[in-house]
Amino acid sequence: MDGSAQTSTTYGQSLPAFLAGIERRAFRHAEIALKNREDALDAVQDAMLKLVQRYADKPAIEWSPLFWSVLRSRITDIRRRRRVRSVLVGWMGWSNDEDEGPVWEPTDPTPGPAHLHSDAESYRALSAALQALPRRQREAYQLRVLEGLDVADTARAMGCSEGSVKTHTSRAMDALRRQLEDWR
Amino acid sequence: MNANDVETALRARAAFNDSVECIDADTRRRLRELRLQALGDKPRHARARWAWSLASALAVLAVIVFWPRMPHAPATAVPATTAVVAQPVPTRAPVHPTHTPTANEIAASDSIEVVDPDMLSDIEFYGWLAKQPDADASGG
Repeated sequence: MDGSAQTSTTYGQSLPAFLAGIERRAFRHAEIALKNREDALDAVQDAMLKLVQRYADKPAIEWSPLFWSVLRSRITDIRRRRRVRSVLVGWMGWSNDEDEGPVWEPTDPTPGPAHLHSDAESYRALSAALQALPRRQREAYQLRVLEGLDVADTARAMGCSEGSVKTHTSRAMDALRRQLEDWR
Repeated sequence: MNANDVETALRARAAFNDSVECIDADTRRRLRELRLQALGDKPRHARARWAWSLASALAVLAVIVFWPRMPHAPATAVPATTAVVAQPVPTRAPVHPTHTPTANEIAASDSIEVVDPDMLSDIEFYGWLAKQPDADASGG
């Protein structure tokens, strides 16, 4: 991508500065993936804790892919737990009053062209389009395009080959170009 | 990547960056608390636990190593005040650097039990030798 990529140097050289610079972006990514604020906060908290406890002694240049890798796996864990809970609730016929119910909530509908003028509406459209993508495509797009990681760091964060990253990113860009056609 | 993809990517990034800047105050406060908790509490507690464990292990090791070498007081120790009063202060003859003790002095000393008898005979011999006139002086 271009030179505006987010790297460890832009997040911060010290670990507190790094976490302070990345926490809001991580929250937004987790929120897009999990569609729930509290779950997103939990995922970000776990990612920060794990980075501090296990990877604080790593070079600062490695923090960014490590953090995104931890956050991605934490998001996957939360989604998997939700699926199990959803299946159990469906089988047993339990009520679901206290649950936040993100699995059963419909996603925000993509707004029409007339509402795409404000920044908030643009983000809502982007968020809905990303949520409609397959998981791996969405992860590749978020890391490559929105966070500006290079292909190697994205592959490390996603735990796959660089070729897979390019494939997922390309497919995600095709899909988003169609879904966000109103932006042009 | 064609021009449309670049344009879409730039707009997507701009929209995302704007949304990051527009996070509500409560969520910002929560994120800050979570970050401070991650940076401060857990590692500090872990370090403290490690420090206490290490200090305890070193203390136990020091006791095991140095305990047999330490002087132990007798089981029926006499109180200090009583010991000072009861035991007479030992009187010794002042020792001159060039003074050679005689057999009688050594026999009268407190440490006679530990003196080797062979050493006593040697001392008597050296005492006798010292009283003899110098052979070189008389012969020369």
